[in-house]
Amino acid sequence: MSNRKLISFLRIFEKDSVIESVITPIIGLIVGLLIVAIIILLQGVNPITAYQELIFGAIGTKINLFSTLLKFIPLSFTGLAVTLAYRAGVFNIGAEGQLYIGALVATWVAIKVNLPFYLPSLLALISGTIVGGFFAFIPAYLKVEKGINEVLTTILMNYVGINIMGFSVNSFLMEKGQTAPQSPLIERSAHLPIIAKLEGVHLHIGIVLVFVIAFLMHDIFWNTTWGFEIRSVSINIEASKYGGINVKKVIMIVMFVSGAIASLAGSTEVLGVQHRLMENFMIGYGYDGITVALLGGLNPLGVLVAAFFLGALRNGAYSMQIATGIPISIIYVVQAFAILSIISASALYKKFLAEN
Amino acid sequence: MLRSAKKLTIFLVIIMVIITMVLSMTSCKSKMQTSTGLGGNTGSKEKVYKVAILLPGSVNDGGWSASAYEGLVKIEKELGCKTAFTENVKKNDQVQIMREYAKKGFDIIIGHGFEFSDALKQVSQEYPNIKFVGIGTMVTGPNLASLQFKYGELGYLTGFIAAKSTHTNKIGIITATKDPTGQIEFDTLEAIAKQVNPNVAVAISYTGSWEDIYKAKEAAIAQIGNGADVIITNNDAGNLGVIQAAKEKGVFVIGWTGDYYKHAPDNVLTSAVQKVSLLIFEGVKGFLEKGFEGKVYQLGLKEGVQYIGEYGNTVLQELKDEVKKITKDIIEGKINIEEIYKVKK
Repeated sequence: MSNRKLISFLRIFEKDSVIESVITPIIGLIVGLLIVAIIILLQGVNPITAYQELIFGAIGTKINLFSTLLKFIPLSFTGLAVTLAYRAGVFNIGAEGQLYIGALVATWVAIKVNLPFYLPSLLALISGTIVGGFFAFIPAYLKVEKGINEVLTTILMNYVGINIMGFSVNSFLMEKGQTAPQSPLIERSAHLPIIAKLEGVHLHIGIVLVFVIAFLMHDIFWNTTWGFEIRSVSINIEASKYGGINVKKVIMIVMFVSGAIASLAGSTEVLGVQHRLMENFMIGYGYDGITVALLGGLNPLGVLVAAFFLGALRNGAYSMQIATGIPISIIYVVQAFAILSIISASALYKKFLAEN
Repeated sequence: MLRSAKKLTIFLVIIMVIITMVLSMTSCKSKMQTSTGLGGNTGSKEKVYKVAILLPGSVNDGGWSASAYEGLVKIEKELGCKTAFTENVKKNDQVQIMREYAKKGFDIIIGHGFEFSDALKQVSQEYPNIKFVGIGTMVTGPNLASLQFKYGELGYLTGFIAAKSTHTNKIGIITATKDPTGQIEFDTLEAIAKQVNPNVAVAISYTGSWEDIYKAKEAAIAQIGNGADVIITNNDAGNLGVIQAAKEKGVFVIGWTGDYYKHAPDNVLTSAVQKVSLLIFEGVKGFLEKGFEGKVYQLGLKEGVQYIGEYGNTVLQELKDEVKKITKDIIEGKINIEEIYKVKK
């Protein structure tokens, strides 16, 4: 268990107070956007026009806002999953694989089960979370029992998850009479309940789930003994052991739950938005979860804010690219500068505190 | 003090390097993306059509998406349309990007690949006045069409060439997966080969991968071991492995999709060339000139989007002339390919 250096480095991102964790991602992204404005200017495009398009594309109309929220849901799930694991001193880099497996199991159940009134979708979500949790439990078990670093195993498990899903849609889950590697459409009874509807854009119940999980996590971390145990494991394993905490159990449970939350990103997307599974159905959301978690101060409520802004950036980027020709990949540069600025700002702040 | 100054310099240098890298990366990309001017002069009376395409990969992937971009450039240059594209479109972004193009007043919106089927169907219903096109899809609607390569034609021609060229009467086919359109090609191929030479036997190997060069080579060596002396390979990157095996064992090979003559002029008989860029170009040209119908368009030899490529050194002029004549007959409708693969079924 030798991730101490990494943990002590990442501590710079940790924000325990809600206000701090909400303000940091906003300031970080503003700095990122300001720096990128220079790049856009050098491209010969007026950054103000570009950002107007960006903001309009993200929240300009109700439909655009809904699409942003549909991106916010999976980003917050993976962000929350990474945050939870980090708070117990383990790194879950495997959210990508977990969400692929979650989506696979959810789709399979949704297609096979034939029950009335939202029961199939509930069953599909639950089975997706259980298998996704189990998928994250494997690295946790290997860590506590065999001492294998979970950073390595979770990264490698991503490929296992992605390829199992790819194999499935190419074989037993493939739509009959189709040449394309994709699952059949999921029946209407297995769709997630829709809470708001606009022409073509349906906001599903996943958004409620996001808020419930985030507030629950926040409450558990700072108001319960469990939360105290989890956080103390990350701060000092030896002291936690001495204090009577079953460290192995904490790590295994936390990783299971973390995997379960990550899998929701995939299963809600399939059951609520795409309604069928195919290869590469959402690329990179597992890894984006890490960015979201760091921007959000590794705080569940900060994660919500960070996920919303990153979702908005992503959604607005299309409109910006179409209108001004600025490539969509520019928003990843914004993200990177946001994180860099948070690192430097936090470091300066700490230095300032130390000097005074 | 000295140490911190050193650290600061290193830090600054790293930042500068990152910034220059980012700048150079974005600048070459956006050069391509902003090259969407009004294109050729089509006269002031005509309306300038706006065509947008959504690509699953990057425009410089050297394959599927790159060839679509090539087609788009041709559309802009030769048809005088205003064009735009979005690359690396992820599955869960398709619908939103199509809507953005629709809102910005594009006339034709193209989804490049079967994975766009659902999004095309959904968004085409939301914008009934805009034309939507899928490449390699099967979806249709009042304002939604699909463009495909006409299947059977290349199977017919390659089957004829293979049957005329084999000495051992054994033809091998190597492809990645068993899919219906590929199956039609090979059914036609087998039927024609047997028509030309009743003693011919055709065997198919599936490698399961479009990228695995070694697997394709293994499959080719196994086929050659069984006595095949003409191998047809439709395996994308795997084609190179098959050609390598053919070179080593001294047998003939017919490539698919690209033109493989240069890879082994003595072993490659010819190639069944399919040009995605031309498929898109000819498709859009057809919409502008002949009007749009919500159906599956199949383009082939007639439109010149697929053809028999360069011949190898060993192919006799006599055979080339025969193939030329058959091609002409197919184009003129004297040969009905559909009948052949339907009988086989």
